[in-house]
Amino acid sequence: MTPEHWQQIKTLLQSALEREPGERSAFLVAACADDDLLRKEIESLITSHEQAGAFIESPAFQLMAESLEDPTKSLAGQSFGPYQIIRPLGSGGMGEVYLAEDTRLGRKVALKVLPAHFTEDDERVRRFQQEARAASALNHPNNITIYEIGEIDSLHFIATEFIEGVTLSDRLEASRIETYEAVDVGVQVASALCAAHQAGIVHRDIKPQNIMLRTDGIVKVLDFGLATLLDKKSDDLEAATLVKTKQGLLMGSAHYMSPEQARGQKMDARTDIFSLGVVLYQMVAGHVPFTGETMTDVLASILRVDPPELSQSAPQTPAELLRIVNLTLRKDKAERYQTAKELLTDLKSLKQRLESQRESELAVMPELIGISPKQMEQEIRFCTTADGVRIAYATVGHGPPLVKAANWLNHLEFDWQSPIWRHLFEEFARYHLVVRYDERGNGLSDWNVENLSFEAFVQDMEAVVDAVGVSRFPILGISQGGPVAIAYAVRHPEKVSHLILYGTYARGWARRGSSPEELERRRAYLTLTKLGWGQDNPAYRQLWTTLFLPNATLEQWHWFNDLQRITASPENACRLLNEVGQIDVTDFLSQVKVPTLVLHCRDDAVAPFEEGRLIAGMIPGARFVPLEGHNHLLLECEPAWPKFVAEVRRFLKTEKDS
Amino acid sequence: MTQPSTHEVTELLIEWSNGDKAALDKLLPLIHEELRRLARHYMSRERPGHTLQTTALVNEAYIRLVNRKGVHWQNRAHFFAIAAQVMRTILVDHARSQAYAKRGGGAHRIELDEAMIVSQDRAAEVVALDDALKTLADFDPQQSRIVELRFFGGLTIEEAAEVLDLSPATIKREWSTAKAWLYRELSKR
Repeated sequence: MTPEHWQQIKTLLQSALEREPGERSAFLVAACADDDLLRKEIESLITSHEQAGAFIESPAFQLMAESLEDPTKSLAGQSFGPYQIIRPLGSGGMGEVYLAEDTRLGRKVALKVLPAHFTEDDERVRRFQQEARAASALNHPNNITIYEIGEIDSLHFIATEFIEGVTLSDRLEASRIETYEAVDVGVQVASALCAAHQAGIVHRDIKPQNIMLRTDGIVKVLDFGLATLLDKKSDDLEAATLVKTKQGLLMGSAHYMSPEQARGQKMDARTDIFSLGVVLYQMVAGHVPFTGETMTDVLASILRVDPPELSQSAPQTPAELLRIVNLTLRKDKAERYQTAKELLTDLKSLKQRLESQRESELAVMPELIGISPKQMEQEIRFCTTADGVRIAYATVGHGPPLVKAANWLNHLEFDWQSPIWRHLFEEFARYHLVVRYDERGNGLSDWNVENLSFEAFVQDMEAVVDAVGVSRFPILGISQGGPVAIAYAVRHPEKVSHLILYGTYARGWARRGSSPEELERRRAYLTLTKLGWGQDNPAYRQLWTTLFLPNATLEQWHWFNDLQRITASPENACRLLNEVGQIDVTDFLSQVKVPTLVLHCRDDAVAPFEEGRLIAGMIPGARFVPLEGHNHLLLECEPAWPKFVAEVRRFLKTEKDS
Repeated sequence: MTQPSTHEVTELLIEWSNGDKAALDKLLPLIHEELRRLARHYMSRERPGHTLQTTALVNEAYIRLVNRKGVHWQNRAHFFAIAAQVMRTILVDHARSQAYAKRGGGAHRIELDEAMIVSQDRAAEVVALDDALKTLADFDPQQSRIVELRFFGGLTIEEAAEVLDLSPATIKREWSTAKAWLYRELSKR
C-alpha cells in the first residue's frame, strides 16, 4: 500500500463512517464512481470496523496482565489432589495443560484439566472415560502414555507422560520441514494410528497441535479419545476450532477436518487418514491445502475444492510422496487409503528410499569435486572502499564462489594457520572459491579509520565483492558476520544465492533486551578490553577466550588469546565491541528473499540460542538447525561439526537444484 | 544499575526537548530500566487482583525518575511518547519470547520474570499486532504512532492528542480507521 493510496482510502472511509450506516452504500457508490476495487476495499474496512468492537481498546500491558490473572491459570503453584502444579504448558479448546509433579511417585507429568462445560453431560463424560481408558491401554511408542484419568473437586483431568519437545505446529511455524523429516513424522503418526485403529479407537482430531516432536526425534500423538467430548454439540465444535480472544477471532483447526467430519457424518478410521494427509501436505508445501477467510469457507473448500498440486509449492517433492498425499486427501472416503496400515507401508518404503539416497549423496560429495586441503594456498589482495579504507581480502579453493562476511576478530593470515578457523575454511574451499576479508579496523585491513559503523561493515563487503568481480554466490555469516550478511542479502538479493548463518544474532548485545546483569557483564568486558587487551599478560584475553570457546584445547585457547592482540588495537577492540552491541537488523529479516539456513549451538554463551531462533522464525522459509554444543566458534573436534558440514552441504546442493 | 538522580533525568529531558538527540540515547536506557523494573513488580504474583493501568505504571516511572515540579508539561508529554515506545519494546520482546516458548520446551530466556507466563495466544496476538503496526507505519506513520501511544502507552484519546499536538477529534478519527485496518490484518492470519 502506498501512502497516497491509503490517504485516499482513509479519507473516504472516515467520511463513510461519519454517515449513518444506512447511507454509507449510496455514499460509496457515488464517491468511488467506477472504481469498484476502491469501493470494495472500503466496504471491507467498514465491516472490520463494525466487528472490531473492543479490539485493542484495552492497553497491551493490561491485556497481558489479565491473562496472567486468568482464573483458569490459578492452579499454577498449587496442589491438585496428589499433583503439585509446577507451571502452565499451554492451553487450547480442550483445556489447560500444566506441568505437574505426581507427589506419590515423584515423577513429572503433563496434567490436562478439562473445561467444565465439556464435562456437564454425564453420558459424554462416561464415553470419554471409556475411550481414554482404551487409549491408555494402547502402549505404543508413538502414542503418549496416559497415566491417570480422574476427577478431583469435580474437575476432570488426564495425567500423561511429560514430553520434552515442541509441537509440530510450533515446528512448522519456526521453519520449513524437509521432505525426509516430513515423511519420518508421517511414518510415526501413521504407526500410532495403526495401533489405535486396531484397538477400535479413532482419534478424530489429528492436527499439528496434537503431534509432539521430542528432541530425540521420536514423535508422539496426543489426545486420543478427547474428541469424544466434542460430539453432538456444534457450539462446542466452534469453541474448539476458534481460538477465543477478547480482541478478535483467530482461526483454529478446521483445516484438518475430513469431508465427512465437516458434514457432521459418521466418522471412522479413514477420517484420521485424511487429517494426516492434510498434515503431510502442510509439512511439504509449507501451507495447508484447504483455505478460506472464515471457518465456513475452509469447510466449503474441504468439501468441494481440489487442493493445489503439491508440486507447485514444492517442485522437488518425490513423485511417490505426491501419490501418497493425493490418495489420503480423496474426498470420497472409499477412494482413500482404507487402513492406516496401507498408508504406513507406503510411507515406510518411501522413507527407506530417501534414507539411502541421502546417505549416498553425502558420501559422494567431497570426492566429487573435492581437492586435497594440502594443495590449498590462499592469495591475499587489497581493495579500497568509497571512503578510502584499504581492505585486505583472500581467495582460496576452486569452484563456484562463496563469500564469508568478516568478523570483528579476523586476520586473514593468522586465521588461515589457526586451529580454530582452518577446518571451516578448508571445508568450504573443497568445492568453492572462498572469499574472505578483514573488516576495517581489523587484521590486515586499515586500523586507523574514522568510520567504524555497521553501515561501513556492509560497505566493506560490497567493496570486496566488487573487487573480486563475482556475480552470484552463497554468503556465510558467523556471529557478527551474520547481521552484515543479512543486510547485504537484503540490499543485493540478485547476487546472493544462499544465506548460511551460524551462531549469529539479529540484535547486538545492547539491543536484545538483555537482563541488567547481562548488560552489566557486557559493560565490564568493555572496561576490561580498554585496560587489558594490549597487555602481555593474557589473563584478560583468556576471559574472552573462555567465553567464546568453553570447550577447547589448551592450544586453541593460546591461539585465540594471541589472535585477539594481533587482530585489533585495544582502542579498536572497544569501538568495535560497542558498535556490534548496537546492531539491530530485526526489521530486515522479513525482507530476506534468499534461501536461508540458520544453525545455532544450544549453549552458545556469546550469541544466545534465542537469537538464532528469532532469525530463523522471521526470515521467510528459513530452515533452523539446532546444534548441541557450548562453543561460539565450531571446532573440528566437537560432535556438532560433522552435522554442520552435512547440513550445509545438503543445503548448498539442494537449493542449487531448485 | 544505580538509581539515576531525578536531576539527571530532568536535565536530559530538557536537553532532549531542546533538540539534543544524544540526550535521548542517554535517557532511553534509564526509562527502559525503570519501566522494566516496575512492570516486573506489577506483573509478578505479589499483587494478585491488582488492576493494571499502563498510564499508572508510566506515571509512577515518571514520578520516580523526575521531580514533577521542575518540569514542564511538554516534557511530560515527551516522556509519555518515549515511554510508549519503550513499553512496546518490553512487551513485544516478552510476548515474542513467550510465543516462541514451546510446550515443554527446554531452557529459554524469559524477559521479565520467570513466573510471568502470559498465555501463548495472547502473546502471539501482541506479536502479530506489533508486526502489523510496522506495516502500517510504512504508509501512515502518524496512525502507527497513535496506536503505539494508545495501545502500548495506555494513553486516552485526550492524552494522545496532547502528546501529538492534534485535536482529540482527529485522534479519534485516525484511531478508528487504524483499528479497522489492523483488525482486518489480524483476522487474515
